[in-house]
Amino acid sequence: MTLASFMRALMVLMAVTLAGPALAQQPPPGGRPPPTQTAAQKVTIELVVVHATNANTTVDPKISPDIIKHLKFLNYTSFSHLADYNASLALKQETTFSIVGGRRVKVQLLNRSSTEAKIRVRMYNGQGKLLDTTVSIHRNRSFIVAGPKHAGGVLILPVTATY
Amino acid sequence: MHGMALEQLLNRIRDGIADDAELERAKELLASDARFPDELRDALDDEPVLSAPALLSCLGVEDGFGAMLAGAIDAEAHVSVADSVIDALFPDEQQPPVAEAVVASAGDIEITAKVLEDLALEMVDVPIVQAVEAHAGQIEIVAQVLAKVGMADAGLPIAQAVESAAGRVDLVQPVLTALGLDDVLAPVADAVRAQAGVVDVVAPVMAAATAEASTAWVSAMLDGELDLAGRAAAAEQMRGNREATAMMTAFASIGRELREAVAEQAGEVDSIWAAVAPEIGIADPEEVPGWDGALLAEAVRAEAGETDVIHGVMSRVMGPAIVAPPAQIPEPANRGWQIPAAALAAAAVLAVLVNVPSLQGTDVPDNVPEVTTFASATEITVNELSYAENVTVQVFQAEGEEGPLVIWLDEETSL
Repeated sequence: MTLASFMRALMVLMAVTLAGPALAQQPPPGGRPPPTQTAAQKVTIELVVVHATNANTTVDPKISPDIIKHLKFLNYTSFSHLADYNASLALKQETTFSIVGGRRVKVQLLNRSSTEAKIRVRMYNGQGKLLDTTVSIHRNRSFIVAGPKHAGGVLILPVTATY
Repeated sequence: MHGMALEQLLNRIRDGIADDAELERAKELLASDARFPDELRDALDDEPVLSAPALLSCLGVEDGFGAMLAGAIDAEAHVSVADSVIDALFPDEQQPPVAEAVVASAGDIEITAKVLEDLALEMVDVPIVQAVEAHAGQIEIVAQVLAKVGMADAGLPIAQAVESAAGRVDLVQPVLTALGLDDVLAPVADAVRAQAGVVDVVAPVMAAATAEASTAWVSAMLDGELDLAGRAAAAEQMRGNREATAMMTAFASIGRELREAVAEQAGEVDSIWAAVAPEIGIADPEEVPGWDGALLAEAVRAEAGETDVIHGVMSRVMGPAIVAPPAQIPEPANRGWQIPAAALAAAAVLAVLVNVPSLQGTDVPDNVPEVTTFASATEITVNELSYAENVTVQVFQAEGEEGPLVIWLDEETSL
C-alpha cells in the first residue's frame, strides 16, 4: 500500500467512523463506545403558561381540565391560557422558552432512564437567574413551577416530560 | 451474494485489474449496499484504486491496516475525559454542577477530523509511519485543574478523581500498538499537538469545583472528618462568619431530616455517638467547634418583643431557606436545598427510601400520554434547588399525595 492509498483509506475510514454506528467496528478493549443520540432517547418537554388572577371567574377552555382541577387549591378564580411550548431534547441538550413578562425558562435534559428523566429547570428575568432546580420525574408526568407575578396575578407553568 | 460480488470487484479494482464494466458494476453495488453509509456511495467515483482498499476495510477484509486501523481510530477518535472523571467522582450517576461542567467543557475530545486535515496537508511526502505518529499528542488537564482549583494537596475526591481519571490521554500509543508499530518513532506529532495539545476544562470545572470546595470544609467539620489541625482552622474560620454559620445550620437541618426519614423507615436506633465521643477525647458530644452561639443570641435579641419570633429568627440565621408558607400552600414536600453536596446526599437517601422500589422493573414501551398526569409524591424528587437572594421558594405537594408537586417562587420577598 502506498502512502497515498493509505491516506485515502484513512480518510474513508474516518468518514465511516464519524458517519455513525452503521459500520462501526466492535469497540476496542478499554475504549468506551462513542455516545449516540437517537430519537428514541429524546425526551419531549412541554411547558404550559397559565395566568391566574382574581379579575373574574372565567376559566380558559384551552387549559386542560387535568391541570385546572389541580389549581383549585390556589386563591385565584380566573385562569387564562397564554402559551404552549415544547421541545424534544437529547441527553445534555437544553432549550430556552421565552415566556411573558420578559422571563425565560431554560430546560436541560440531564439524564433519562426507562422510568424517569432528570431535568434541570432555570428561570430568568431581566435581572438574572431566579430559580435553578434539578428534578427527577417519572416519564410522562408533570409538575408545576409557579409564582412569578404577572398582570395582577401569577404565572403557573406546568412542565411535562414525555417519552 | 451481493456483498461477495462487491468484495470481489473491489479486490480487482484495488489490484488495478478491473475493467470499466467491472468498475461501473462496483459503483452500482456500492450505491445500494446497506453495509455502507450514504457518505460513501460515491467513494469509487474519484481515484477508485485508492478507495477500494478502504472500502474493503469497511467490509472487514484485512488488507494490512484496514480493520486494525479502523478499530484504533474508532477507539481514539472519542476520548471521553468527562465520562471518566464523572465515573470516578460519582459512581451512582449523580451529576452535580462539577460533573456538568466537565461534560459541558470536555465532552468528547474529537480531534480526528483536524488531525486528518493536517495529515492531508503535511503528510504527502513522508513515510506511512509518520502519518501514524501524527496521532501523537497528550492531553494534560490534571495539572491545570488541580493548580487552579488549589486542591492538589487537599486529598479531596475531585482532586483524586481528576488525577486518576483524567490524567493523561495518550493518543499515540494505542494507535501504534494496534498497528504493530510500537517501536517506530517519527517527529511529526506537532501537527496533532497543535490541535489537541491542551484541552481547557479548567475554568468551568474550577467554577463549579471551587463553589463546592468552599462549602466542603463546613460539611467536613460538621461530619467530624477533619483532623485536629483542620478542626482548629475551621473553627477559627467559622467564628463570626455569618454565612458559614448559616451553612452549618442548613447542614444540620438536612442531617436532622435524614435522621428523621431513616427513623421513620427503620425505627429509632440508639445513638452510639454519645458513647463513642468520650472514648475519642471529645468531652461534649453535642459541641460543634466554632459554632457562634453569640450570633444566634444576637438574632434572638434583634427579634425580641415580637409576638412571633420564630420566623424572624430563623430567617435572619438561615436567610431564605426557611420562610413562613402562605396560608393556602400545603405542607412543603422538600426543604433545605442550598448545599449541593448535602442535597445530593439527601437526594440519594430519599431515592433509597422513597423512589427506588417504584422504579424497579423492565423497560416500558415509549408512549406519550394524551392527558396531563401530575407526578405523585413517589414519582418525583427535587434533587437540587437554588434561587436568587430576593426570591423565596417553596416546594410542596398540592392536595395530598395525589396532587402535583409545585415549586412556588415569590419574587417580592426580601429578608
